Amino acid sequence: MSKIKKFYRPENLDTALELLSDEKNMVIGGGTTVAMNVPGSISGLVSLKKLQLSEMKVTGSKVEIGGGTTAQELYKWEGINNVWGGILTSACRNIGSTLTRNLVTVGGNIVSVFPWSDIPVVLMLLDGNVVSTGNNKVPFQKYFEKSPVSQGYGKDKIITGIEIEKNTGNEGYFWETFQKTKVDFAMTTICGLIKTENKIVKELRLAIGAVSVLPVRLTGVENALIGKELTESALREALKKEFENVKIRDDFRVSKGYICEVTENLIVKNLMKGL
Amino acid sequence: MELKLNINDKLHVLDIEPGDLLVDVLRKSGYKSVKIGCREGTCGTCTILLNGNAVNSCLVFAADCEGASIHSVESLGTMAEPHPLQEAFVKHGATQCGYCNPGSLLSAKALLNEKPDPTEEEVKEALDGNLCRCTGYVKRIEAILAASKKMRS
Ligand SMILES: Cc1cc2nc3c(=O)[nH]c(=O)nc-3n(C[C@H](O)[C@H](O)[C@H](O)COP(=O)(O)OP(=O)(O)OC[C@H]3O[C@@H](n4cnc5c(N)ncnc54)[C@H](O)[C@@H]3O)c2cc1C
Repeated sequence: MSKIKKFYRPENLDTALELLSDEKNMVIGGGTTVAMNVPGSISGLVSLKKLQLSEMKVTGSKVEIGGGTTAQELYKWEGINNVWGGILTSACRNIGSTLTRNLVTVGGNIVSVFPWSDIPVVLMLLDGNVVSTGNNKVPFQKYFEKSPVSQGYGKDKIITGIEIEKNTGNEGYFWETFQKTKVDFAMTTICGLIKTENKIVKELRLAIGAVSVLPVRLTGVENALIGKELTESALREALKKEFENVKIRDDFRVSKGYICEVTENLIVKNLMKGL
Repeated sequence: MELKLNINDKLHVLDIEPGDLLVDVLRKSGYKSVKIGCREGTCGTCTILLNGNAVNSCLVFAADCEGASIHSVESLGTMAEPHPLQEAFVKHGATQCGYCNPGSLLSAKALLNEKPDPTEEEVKEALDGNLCRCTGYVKRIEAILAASKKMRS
């Protein structure tokens, strides 16, 4: 017998927020996490389906993606597959299966932020904002500093979309994930961007996910290498140093030492290959 | 609560609980081809077409589908007049115990609706959420490619 006693499908954001002011109610996007496990105190669900939050558009240098867009819609959208080297497309492709991608929404993926969530890692790398009710905009890197639920997302803030600034070009990009099977949850996910001039690193961005509870931007490595010639030894040294500061989560599938080594090797492989 | 669903092109007015999952509502309404497997979106036996998209019905709240169009494998063909996909599954040996077949067939149908002439890679991707533990995967890929060819000719 389900604990859910009420199911609402509001037609506008104000009504949705009003319903969410009752702490027994919870907002759902695709509803995939809630269908499996309804949180203890929840007895009402507020669906966003009727709010038309799934528009995707490119306006000038900005790419806007509605919070209700499904992972599959985003994966198939041509507007994103040539932006930032297509790394967001690769990340969306990796979410579950076609069947789940047709349900999972961008809003749900970036609010639930499971360690293995694929969209958040890529957003850590990009310039842009999470947009919530009241047209509140928070840069991606700030948004993922703390658990979104603890910041009130899904309660007094509904994510209406994300906006991404297009990149300037000439950078090299990579995105790679390490998992036992195609549908397994990632053990580590890496993505990055590099721009060099005469072998000197002009721009470097690195982000990792799955190894920690929230995705992490490797700013220590970035700062250590920008302005220098990229060598494998300098990169490995900087990564090892940075991993001392990353809180690696417990994962019954792999030891912490092993997953750090895999992450390091994946980043080295991708960056050195790109040069 | 009352729920209006268009199942296999027939309007149904159903009495459901707000927290009911679509898989259970469909089975209670007689659509037993929609199988219960993992109940966590991993196996694909509960696949249905929701407004044309193949989804895991175990992860969908029925109440969120008000007015939606749903297709189960009962809409594909009959014993007397099987759909080309069903024919091809039999002909290519893509069926053994049969438990995964309704889901696999519907994922294939969604693919062919969108891409009548898919590549092998596209077939693999479209069926990446439909596990099969007895026939395996080669035969059904062959079957879907053969059905697509037949349907185009
Ligand atoms: C079998 C399976 C495999 C998966 N594999 C992966 C994977 O490999 N990688 C990956 O990234 N994901 C994966 N996922 C998806 C992921 O685990 C979540 O299920 C999904 O991201 C949740 O999306 P949703 O839209 O269904 O969110 P919901 O379940 O609807 O909501 C999740 C949370 O977000 C809140 N929320 C939803 N929408 C909004 C909004 N617009 N504004 C504010 N709050 C909101 C809800 O209140 C809730 O707290 C997988 C899922 C399944 C079922």
